[in-house]
Amino acid sequence: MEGEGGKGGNSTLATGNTSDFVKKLYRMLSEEKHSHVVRWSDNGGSFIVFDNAEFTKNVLPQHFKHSNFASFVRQLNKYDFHKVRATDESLIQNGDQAWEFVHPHFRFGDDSNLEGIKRKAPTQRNKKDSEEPPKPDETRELIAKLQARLEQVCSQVNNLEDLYHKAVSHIRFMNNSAGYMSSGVPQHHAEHEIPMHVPPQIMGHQMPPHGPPQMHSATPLQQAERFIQQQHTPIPPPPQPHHSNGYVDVNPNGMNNTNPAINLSGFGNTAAQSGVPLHATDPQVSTTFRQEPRRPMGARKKSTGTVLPHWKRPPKILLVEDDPTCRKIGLKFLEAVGCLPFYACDGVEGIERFKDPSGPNYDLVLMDIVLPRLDGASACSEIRKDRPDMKDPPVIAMTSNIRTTDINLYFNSGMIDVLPKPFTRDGLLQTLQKWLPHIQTNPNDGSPAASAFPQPGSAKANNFPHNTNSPNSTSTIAQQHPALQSSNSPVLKTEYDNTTNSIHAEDDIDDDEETNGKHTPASSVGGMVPPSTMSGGVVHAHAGHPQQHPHHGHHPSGDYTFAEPSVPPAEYGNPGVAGGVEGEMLNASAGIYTPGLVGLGGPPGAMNSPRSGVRRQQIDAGIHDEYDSRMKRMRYNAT
Amino acid sequence: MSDDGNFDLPEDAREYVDVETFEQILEMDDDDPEREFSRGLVVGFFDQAMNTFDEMDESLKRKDIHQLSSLGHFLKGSSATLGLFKVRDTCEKIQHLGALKDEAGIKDIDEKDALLKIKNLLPIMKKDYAAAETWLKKYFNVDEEEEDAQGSKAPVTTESK
Repeated sequence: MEGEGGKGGNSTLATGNTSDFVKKLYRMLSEEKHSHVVRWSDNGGSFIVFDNAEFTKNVLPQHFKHSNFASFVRQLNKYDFHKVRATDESLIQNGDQAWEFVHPHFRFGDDSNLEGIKRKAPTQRNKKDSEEPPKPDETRELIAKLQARLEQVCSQVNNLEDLYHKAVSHIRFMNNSAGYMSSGVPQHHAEHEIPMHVPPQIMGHQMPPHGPPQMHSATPLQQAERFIQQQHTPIPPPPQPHHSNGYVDVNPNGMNNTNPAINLSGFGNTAAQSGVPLHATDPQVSTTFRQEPRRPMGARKKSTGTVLPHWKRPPKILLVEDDPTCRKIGLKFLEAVGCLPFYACDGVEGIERFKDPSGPNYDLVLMDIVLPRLDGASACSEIRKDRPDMKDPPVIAMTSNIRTTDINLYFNSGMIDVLPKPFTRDGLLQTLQKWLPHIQTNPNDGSPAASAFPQPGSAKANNFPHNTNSPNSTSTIAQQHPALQSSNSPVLKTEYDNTTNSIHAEDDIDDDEETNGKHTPASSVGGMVPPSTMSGGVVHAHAGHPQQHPHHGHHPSGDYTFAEPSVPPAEYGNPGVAGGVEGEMLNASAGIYTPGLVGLGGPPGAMNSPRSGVRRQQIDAGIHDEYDSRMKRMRYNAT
Repeated sequence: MSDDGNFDLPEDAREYVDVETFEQILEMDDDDPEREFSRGLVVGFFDQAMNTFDEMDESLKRKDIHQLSSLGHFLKGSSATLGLFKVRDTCEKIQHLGALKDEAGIKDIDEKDALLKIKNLLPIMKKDYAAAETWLKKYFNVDEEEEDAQGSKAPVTTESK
């Protein structure tokens, strides 16, 4: 048989298109003298190395000029050969030392397909590059297109910047007003200085049910959590059982002081006045958040199916991280998603790197918070001295201390988002996509930035259907029947269960999306929102069927987009214009940052809506936080 | 890539690592049978963990509660990254205790109490760590590193175990 194979081999093996490795491999198998060590399997569909040591010592050097079995296996892997799993039968037949490898095109006596055995391209992106070298005129055309697009994007960016600045001043104004209103509370003043954060709103909403003083030392998160607690509990009974999850240091007895009389004028009231039933949000919010940990394992495993974004150029990312393990994996993930990573090991070095005139112009900075010499937040403030625009470049806080660390601090120091640690590849990718829309090319995608301000109508269209599919039905009911909310834990319980049941619905959705060709449902990266829905998608995902988004499973605290819009506008009971604005906000998905923006963009009359949105997002964030540990546990249980 | 998500982790993997997190790192090996990347990461972590443990012991002797908290935080990060959840959770407790909070980070506690609790936690953490290390070393065949072929065989052969 070997002879035959060998003969056949010569025809193709002589031609140039088969790779050397494959040729050598085929020749090696054609030599009968090795057949006790390595030969074709009986059915000719695979080959078997029977004696590893002998093979390494005697056969490899002859054919491959080395005697390293490992590299041989690695080569095989690179050419997409697979090791055949030993079965009981094969163990008996071939012995337990045998290594059997298979490739669909690599068959005994059939060398016509050998050319089809190609080295796998390392990543999708590279594959594209290497396989289709563009022709000159195509290139020119492409350049022209890109230039056109660039202009388009630039103008969009300008618009956005305008909006942003307006937003900032608005929020300042709002914060100041809120601050003024709560001026009895000194701790708040610090918070007023920052454009981007929400406490006043939260506070506004919280005030009515709550006694104010306790919360002031709390982060918005904590306030939000508290708020939720409060909402689940009709009237402030003492601490709920699940407080213990990290609900934390604020102050345990705080919950008791309810003082409905302390009604914050201004924002709290606006929400109330607008007829937004505050309690309505909560069940829903919790739902969203709750789904995250339950990301089915199966889905996420395929995460490499992730469709990587097509970067116009590799984004240059500065990773400031002191922990070598985290740094290594961070750099690796960045590389894996097509970035050009740089790193610094502490805050001071981070600043130096960033400011280094000969260094690259970073597109984004990932900043650990706890760092030697200078913490991440301070380092970011330093960076912001020269580059006050929070998006220039975006600085993302990476921290595992969401619960106990003051998120405000991050935002105050000019960070725009938080990536909870340990982060996942998908979570990282999502954050990058969110903040680097300008260097992605997505054919289907109007610039994501643009869709951050979609027409209210479309926004709703995006969000609603998913919401109806979402496992939130109970929540909705709960909203309509406040009585249902009265007990905390039962609600939670129910919703957990709902989440479980919702899986099927989500599969369906997945399929739908597949037909749009936007992403493979198989890819865990259902979470990798289809490009066209990039901004909207991120959100609708969260809003509707978060389970689809495995990355949430990885880090329950989510990608911390505060914008996770658990509450669909409609259910939120805020129809009409306000609803539209909400929709936009949801679509924006840009976290604390964007909601403000959107609020700004909207007509003043709609202000209460964005605000409440902000609050919700905060709450959402709070919930993530609060349940963090629980979710971790769940994950483990799930695995 | 077709192999991804199918790392054939030993059955007992979840006793030691958060499988999702761990597999994510294995994925980064990109079919490299030698698992250069993940292996290097893990081996590097061994050193880091041992050093941190030493420093924790030192700090405990000095009653440097603040340092203990920050060491806890430090090791929490890397252990979480690798998915060593037991170590991570204990580190988190130590971090809280070092900040003079109870294990969950909620209530204030006094320093004496905190030190005592940390003192009790350290051996537990080391034990958890040692178990995980043993498991990881087996998985990556770290001890047989010198035998080239064998070393590379590790990740693939685990499946037959």
